[in-house]
Amino acid sequence: MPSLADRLKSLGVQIGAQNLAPRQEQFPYPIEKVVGGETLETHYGLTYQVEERFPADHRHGNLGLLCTSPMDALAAWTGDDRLRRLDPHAIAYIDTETTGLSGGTGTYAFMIGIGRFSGDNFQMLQLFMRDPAEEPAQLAALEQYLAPCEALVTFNGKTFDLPLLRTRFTTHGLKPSFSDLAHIDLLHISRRLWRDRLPSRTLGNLEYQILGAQRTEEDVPGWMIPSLYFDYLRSGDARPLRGVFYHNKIDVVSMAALLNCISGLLADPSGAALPDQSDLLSLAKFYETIGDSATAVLLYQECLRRDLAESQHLEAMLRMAQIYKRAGDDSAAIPLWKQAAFHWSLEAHIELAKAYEHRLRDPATALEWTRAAIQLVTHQSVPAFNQSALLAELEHRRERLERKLTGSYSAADDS
Amino acid sequence: MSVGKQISAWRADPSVGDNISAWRQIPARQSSLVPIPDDLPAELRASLQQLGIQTLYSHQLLAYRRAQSGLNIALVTGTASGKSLAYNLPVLADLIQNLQARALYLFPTKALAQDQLSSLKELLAQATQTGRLPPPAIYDGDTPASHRSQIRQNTRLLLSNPDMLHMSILPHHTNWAVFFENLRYVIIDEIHTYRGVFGSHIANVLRRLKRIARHYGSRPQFLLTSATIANPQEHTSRLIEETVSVLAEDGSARGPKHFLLYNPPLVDARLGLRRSALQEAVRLTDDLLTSAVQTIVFARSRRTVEIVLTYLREKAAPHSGWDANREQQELRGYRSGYLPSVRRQIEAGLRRGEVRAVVATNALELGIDIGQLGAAVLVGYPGSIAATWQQAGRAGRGSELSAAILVATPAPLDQYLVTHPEYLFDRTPEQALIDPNNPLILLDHLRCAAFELPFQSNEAFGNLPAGEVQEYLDYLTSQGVLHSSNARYYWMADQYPAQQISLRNASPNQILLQVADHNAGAETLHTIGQIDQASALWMVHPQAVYLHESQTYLVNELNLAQGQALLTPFAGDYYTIAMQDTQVQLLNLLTQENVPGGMKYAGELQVTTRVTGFRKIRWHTHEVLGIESLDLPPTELQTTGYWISLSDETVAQLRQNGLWTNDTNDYGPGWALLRQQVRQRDGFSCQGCGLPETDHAHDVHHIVPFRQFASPQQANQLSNLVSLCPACHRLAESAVRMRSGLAGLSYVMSNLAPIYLMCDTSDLGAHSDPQSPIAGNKPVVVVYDMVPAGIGLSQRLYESHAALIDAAAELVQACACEDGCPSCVGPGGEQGSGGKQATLAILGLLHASQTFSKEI
Repeated sequence: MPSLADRLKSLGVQIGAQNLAPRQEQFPYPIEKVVGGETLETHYGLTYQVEERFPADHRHGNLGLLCTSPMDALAAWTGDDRLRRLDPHAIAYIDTETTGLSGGTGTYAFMIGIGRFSGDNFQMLQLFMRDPAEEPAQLAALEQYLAPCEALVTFNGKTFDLPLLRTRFTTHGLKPSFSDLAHIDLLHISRRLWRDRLPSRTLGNLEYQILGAQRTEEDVPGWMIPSLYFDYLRSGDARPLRGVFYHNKIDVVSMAALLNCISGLLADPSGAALPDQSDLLSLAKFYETIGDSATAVLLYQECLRRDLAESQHLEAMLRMAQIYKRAGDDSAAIPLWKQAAFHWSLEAHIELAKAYEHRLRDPATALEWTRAAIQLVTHQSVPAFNQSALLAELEHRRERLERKLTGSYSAADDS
Repeated sequence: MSVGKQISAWRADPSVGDNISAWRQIPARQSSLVPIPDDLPAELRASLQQLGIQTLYSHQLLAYRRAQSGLNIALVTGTASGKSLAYNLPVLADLIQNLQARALYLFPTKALAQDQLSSLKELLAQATQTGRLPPPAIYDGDTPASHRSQIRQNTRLLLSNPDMLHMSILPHHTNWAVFFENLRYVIIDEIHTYRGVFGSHIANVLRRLKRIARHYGSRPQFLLTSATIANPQEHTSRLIEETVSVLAEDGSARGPKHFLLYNPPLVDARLGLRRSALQEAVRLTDDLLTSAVQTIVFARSRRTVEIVLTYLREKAAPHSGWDANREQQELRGYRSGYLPSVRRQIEAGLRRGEVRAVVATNALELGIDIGQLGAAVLVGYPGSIAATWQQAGRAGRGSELSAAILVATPAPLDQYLVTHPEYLFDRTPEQALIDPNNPLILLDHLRCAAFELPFQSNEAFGNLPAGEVQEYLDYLTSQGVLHSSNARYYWMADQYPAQQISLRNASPNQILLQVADHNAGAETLHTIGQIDQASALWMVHPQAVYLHESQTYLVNELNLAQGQALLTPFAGDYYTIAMQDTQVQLLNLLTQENVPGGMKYAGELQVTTRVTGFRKIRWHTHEVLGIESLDLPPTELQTTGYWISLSDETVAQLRQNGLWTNDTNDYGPGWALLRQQVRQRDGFSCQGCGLPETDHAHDVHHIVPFRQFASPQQANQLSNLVSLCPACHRLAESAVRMRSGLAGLSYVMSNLAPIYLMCDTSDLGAHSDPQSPIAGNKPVVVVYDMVPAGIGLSQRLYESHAALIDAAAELVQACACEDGCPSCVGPGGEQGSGGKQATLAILGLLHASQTFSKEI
């Protein structure tokens, strides 16, 4: 009677995995011998944890780990007022290492790294699932550690880590209490600040570019991590996992330094704390987003004073002008538009035409700007799909203005 | 003119009346009405009142009561019998009273879900106002991401489909924790569509669903609906693995209906050619439209829909005053390629009577509300008797007379049915079959189930016992996908298994059909479809001409390792037919039994098919332009099959049968000289036994039969001719006869099998061999499941052997062609020439009463 494996093979099932090493009964390199950790007793049995403490003055790259700046800007950004009054010692930084990225109930967080301040030290805890059977204990330990915390900080936790952890809890019929905590996802704010300047906003790249920190060779690339865990489960050899512990630990430490950095530069409206002056524009836009136009304007002005790229200057001018326009202050907006128009900004031309036509009641000047805009569209490299729509609008405007000015029409206008 | 008058007119007109092979008058049926139950919540009573529903049909009340008592029920009443209301009343009544209870509705198509959503909203108009029940919602691939979270949290009546359940809901069940904790009902509509491979997958998806419900502490009740099948009890209970109470007594009213079976007349009796079914259907429909009868025409393919629609509009033009617009509005097509908004428009137009005729694929077969029409015309047999009644059921308005007309195509099954109306009218021999424990299908779903929740080591899966489940789990562990510890099996792989499974086939390897797009500078590949690897070898082999949705392509490359076929659009004047060589080996004999003329067997077989080459055939003239050879790997299929062997006595009798004389003596000009040449070349002696010529000249025999060639010159090449003495010649001829008789038999049997099986002809393979190793070198015809490991089809045929032989014999006997045609024993050429007489002779000996013999 052929075995099931033979039957399946003869039915055409491609045997995906190569010759796997047989499962060993004796674990030659158990985790206990590879990293210095200890078992923890919980309501659900034993779990394994590795702890490390960093002194108060520890720096990761250029920054310390304690978030020393006020978090008002972040509170406005997340819409969570609790962040205003938050004691930075009550923050838990969390990062998970998982068995896959696809989500769903078959994905496990085999390692959960939690960093938080305990007294003066930064305490780094790593809860490791030596075997999936230990998961309930691991989750119980996590609950325990998060109990005194008031906020969570993650990197892409909104979409990935936190839903994953919630799923793990639900699978075991447990209800996670951390669901109600305030949450800052550093990925989103990092994108806001550095999308234009940095090609990659992964934690690793930010760590290098913004914090100035570097990892040792012990680090392993993220994509490799799931298979390292699977190999460990099969072979019992925990040595390759050392790199995973390191990777996870540095991720958490990086997040702490990054939050410190970000809250610092958000709290300084002069922009002095920025790692690079071209971040001024992003910072200004950030302040616009949270509704602080006054600070935004100051920062836009600072942009104009600095030696930045022309495109950035233009953007600063145009955005500032929009703020003034919304506030009803054309006298401030118009000079900005004129300055931008001088640098061939189509938007500025159009805004000027609108302002002169509808608000300043000066159709003649409006017409000049409209004509200039039409010239610009036809001679500049405006994308083809846009051109016809734009031209149609502008022509429409021109005709209307010409009608308004009937009587001032002259042969000289026909050029 | 009304429907009745039109039918009488047809019968009186010889150009139509003579072709009506059967005319059944199905009498009207009175409804069996009962009052609306008192215990129905007030909100529902009010809604029914609003909808004008004063009473219920008897089966609706019965369904209500049985569901209330906690039974799983299956409604197998006809079309338009109010099945939706029958399952909705008990479910909605409960959900209005129990504020936590939830219900899951599964529909086979999104369109059906949309339709049912509207009905539910109407029924719940009052209840949602009072806030006792949040509005029902659809959760499927089209649901916008922004709505999904809200639906998961709040909706208590969820409408979805099996694919969404499989791919998204079950693997993320933690997002649905509250839903599953309170799941009281699962409603599955149109379960007759869940058969074969698809049905086997669905049965496993339901196992996973029940497993997850159990994890959250719930045990939902099942309410099912089905079209008429022969085995509703068996099918439903196999699908959900629980006992089911079947309700088949239809209490709804039905007007009288005339059902006509129409067989287009022969234009060439000898060749068995008939007038085009499509043209005949157009003519009949046009007649109906002229009589102002709102008609639906069902066609088997999208292409046919478009052709029929074009013809109908052309014919209508003179009547509507050449108003193209009007024709466009009043005569519509309907198929799945159209935008949903267009389809809604057509459905509404039908209900209002503005659309006078709709030409549709079976997309309109399933329950979408289009009102009731005056007549239904079916172009060709839809493939199952259940589908035939579904389609015919679209006609019939209130107590008015309606008509259904089935126009037969030349396919053997169609021809058999029009001459045996009792199969359609008197009983439904089709059984819906599934095999949830088919190893390939089961393996896939065990992977998904393990992903969803770890398995305990003593856990069963549906009715698969724990021990067998463990075998699969151990296998998956050895493949590195599961990790076993602490008496549990955990999913430990960086994969999302549901994504890798298509619920509609069981083949492990798919080939993507890709066409190169040369626009926008860069060359990109655009996928037009996919086929399983086995079919790919003969459908899209290198240099094949492939038709896809009325576009012709040439296959440039077939890359099996990468699973892709590269195609380019083709405008040549020929098509290709692959030549296959099939070998069948016996793996395991399960059972055998004596039958008249021989023996029947069932067992496990290995079918090895190799595509050896292909023929290029010119369109219209059917000339063979060339034959190319191919070097492709063989396909091995391990499956179950049923075969018949002929006993030695049967073979002897066939040989002696004096009917088997040579058909023709006309082998073209110069035959006499050629004979001389061949005999001379062969030294005037028989090449079979060595016997030298004595008084008479030996015969000269065509090795490959004369008929197979396009011209006498090709047939008469010296290499194809050999001298044989009369005895050897008779043997050689009988071998040819045998081969072609067996081939004809396998053709007719595999084509008629769906009468019993509710499957497509493509779900079965057939093969014949005059000296088969699977039956001690006796002549054999074998029919096997095309699904690896089989799905139970050939087993059923084994059991229906006598009936199948009976049907085959009748069909071939009754066929008007002279020597074989696609309507009976198949086109000649592959293995023999014509072969009708040979097939008949074999059938005669296999037939119990042996009444078929020399009569033609």
